[in-house]
Amino acid sequence: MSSLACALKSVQGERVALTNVTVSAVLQDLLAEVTMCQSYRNQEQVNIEAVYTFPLPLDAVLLDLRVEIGGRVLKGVVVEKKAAEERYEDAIAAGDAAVMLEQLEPGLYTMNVGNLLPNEEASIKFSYSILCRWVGERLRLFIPTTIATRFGDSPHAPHQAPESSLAVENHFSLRMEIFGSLREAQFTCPSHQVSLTRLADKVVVALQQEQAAMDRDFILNVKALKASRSFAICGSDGDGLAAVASFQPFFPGLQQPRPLNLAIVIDCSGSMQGDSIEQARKALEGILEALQTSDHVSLIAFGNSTHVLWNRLMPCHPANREVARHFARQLDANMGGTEIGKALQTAYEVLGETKPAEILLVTDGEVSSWKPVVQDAKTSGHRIFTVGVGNAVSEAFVRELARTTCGECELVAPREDMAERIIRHFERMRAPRAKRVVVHWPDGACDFAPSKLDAVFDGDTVISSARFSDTSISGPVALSIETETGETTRLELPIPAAPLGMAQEQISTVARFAASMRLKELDGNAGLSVALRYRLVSPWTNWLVIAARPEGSKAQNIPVLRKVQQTEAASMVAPCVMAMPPAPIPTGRIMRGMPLFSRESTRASLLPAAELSSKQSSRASLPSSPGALIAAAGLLRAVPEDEWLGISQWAAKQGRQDLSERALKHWSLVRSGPKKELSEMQTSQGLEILKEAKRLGFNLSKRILREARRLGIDLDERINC
Amino acid sequence: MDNSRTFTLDEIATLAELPRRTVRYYIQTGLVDRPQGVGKGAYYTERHVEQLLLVRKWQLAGLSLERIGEVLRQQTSGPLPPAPRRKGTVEVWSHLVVADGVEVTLDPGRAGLNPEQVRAFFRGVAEVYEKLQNGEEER
Repeated sequence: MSSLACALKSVQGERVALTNVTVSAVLQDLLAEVTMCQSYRNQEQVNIEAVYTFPLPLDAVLLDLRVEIGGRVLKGVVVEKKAAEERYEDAIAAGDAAVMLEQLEPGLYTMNVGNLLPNEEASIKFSYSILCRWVGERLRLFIPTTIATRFGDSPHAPHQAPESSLAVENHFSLRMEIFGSLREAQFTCPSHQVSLTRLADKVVVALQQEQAAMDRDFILNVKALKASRSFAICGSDGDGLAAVASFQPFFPGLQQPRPLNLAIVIDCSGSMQGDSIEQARKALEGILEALQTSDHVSLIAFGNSTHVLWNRLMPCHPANREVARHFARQLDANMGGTEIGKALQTAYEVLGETKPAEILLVTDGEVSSWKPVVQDAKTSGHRIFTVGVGNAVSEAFVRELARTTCGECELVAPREDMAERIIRHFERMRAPRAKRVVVHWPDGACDFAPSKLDAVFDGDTVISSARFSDTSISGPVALSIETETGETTRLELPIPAAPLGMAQEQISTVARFAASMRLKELDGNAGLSVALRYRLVSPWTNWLVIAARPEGSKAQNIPVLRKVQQTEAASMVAPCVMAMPPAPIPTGRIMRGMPLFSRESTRASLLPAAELSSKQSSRASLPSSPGALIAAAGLLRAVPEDEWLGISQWAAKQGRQDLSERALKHWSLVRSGPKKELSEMQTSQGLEILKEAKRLGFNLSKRILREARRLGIDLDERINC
Repeated sequence: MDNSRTFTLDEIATLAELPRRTVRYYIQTGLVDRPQGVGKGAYYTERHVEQLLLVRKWQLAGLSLERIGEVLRQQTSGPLPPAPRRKGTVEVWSHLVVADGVEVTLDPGRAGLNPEQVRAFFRGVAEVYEKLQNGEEER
């Protein structure tokens, strides 16, 4: 243990508060129930607050939360968000311990563990349930463990925003038991080394090593030829019932595959380095293979900028395909940031008015603010099929993007079969579209969720839920699909009776599951009341535990914050790409790494340039000649951004508020874009700030003085107002 | 305002129009001083309110909290030190490939180089390399 404890010391010197994570999962037929236990320990001399932002599968439904602290076990309650935050703050202020679990966005949660006293331990156990979805004859169990560095400002509060570090290594252990119809299935784990034991009543899958680093998603692929793939479950819901049905419909495809109008969009941002870009190349290979002469395509690669092969869709004849291959071979993860919104905008332009048209997007989805991208995609009217790649894919983004546009999403980890998934996507794209998809619930059903089903693909899973005010259900539930070619398919499922032995008026897991599906379509007050009734964490509710301490053992100070950092995704640290001879890199090429920390860039626009010049026009005087102006512009280009901050801070201390404000505004101005040319007025204002600061005794950096000498600018020259 | 007036955390949060959690975060990260006194006796003064307002001002101007911390800690007159590099962070660097096996690595932002200067620098390096190569051949 002592060596482990040493290893847990972070680079900043403090001990990492999260000491261990254990995952135990039970897969009973298609319902997976996963229990996670996070252990925290304060290994410092002061009281601390540990804050850990972590990922869960997008469709996970959190069922309960228990905290063990100081020998006591406390059960969590679901509380309205504002009230929970207040109570948490009150507890911290009073010196008590408190644990609050909040949902930041779909698939992203923050655990707040307030006021751990020196040497105190807290173990937090929560479980969630998830319904696995069949895709053909396989299903994929996915447990994310880390959040890869995302592009752009995090939309969350600073204590919540995930941070990853190459130096932090969090660990987890995992054990999974599989019961029921899936026992006979074939299992593969592309992400970790696991052991598999087949017992009489179950199959046990566990990590081969006791612990593994939390640097990649855990994936278990299950392939079963003979398994019951459609089913319905039922449970009590207060004085009524709730039911969830899962269908896997098969319906005939077209005799002649439909030609496609397709924009292929490939993420070449820095975060794709290593495994992910290798996967993207493989995906492209598969795509170009799957295209037919009658298809029309274009290819778009993006990072900070967007690179388009053809501005409009081109027929996919052999010559064009060769051009596309050539384009594909050039791709690398060297295009900087992940400006995915702009890239998709370009795709919409390329597709223009062509209908029907599809977009096939290959990305790791590492974008902080992805919701606006999904919104834009929805209004574009094109279906987007996504391929989520990498070791720590942002599931919520790639799945939501596909879902809201009536496309579909495939997650493919580095060692999974890419070709198979690409073929699957092409089958979906070429298949006749479902025109009318309806789930017919028996009489007495209400509160259906989802309220509307848009996209259904042959062999994929459709899940639907409903509530019954009665305690008996009269008849089966049916799914009917009418395709655009006029064919209809109907699939019927009996609804089993609710398990007996459950106290009347209790709310079952099935009911909470159904409610969580409803919650996705609710807003404000309606959402809040459903979330409270069914004890669900949501945008309006948090899980909360308060552990009051006896008088005399309360924490005395505001706890020191210990944010638990993410272990950097494996592919960013040491990609395990196939051994290949290094390709000679052409001379003069610039390879860009990840442009991650652009936190300040978007906010700089708060001070509009127009306001700046109007307010200060009385003060500035233009340099006398064009030559002087050019020289001044040259000098300003040599001034690092930080110099303006330094001047501003220094001037404020000298009581020169006006100069401080001007320097700060100038900083905002130059911060808004390095390539931005300053106007004449702005240039002379900048120069005067430098002169004034120097005259008042500020030590300008040597580089500026040197540059001024070189350009023949006299910084000591009196300002001629 | 009376200088000897004291406040609770709640009150200073209200004065600065910030949520309590945010104010607490600023204290935890050292942007705002810790309160006077301990436990139930902890209190805040005018100085804390001023600090909060200052952080807010810088933030509205577009500074990251990290940078605000550095600016506030800057005591001497003169240029700000470059942002310290936290261990374990991933940075953006440009690699200029001079030839197979020869690479120049730089972060133009930190180096304070504009694109023209980067190109000029690279041309210079490339020239030196070429000269070396040609020298080899001549010999």
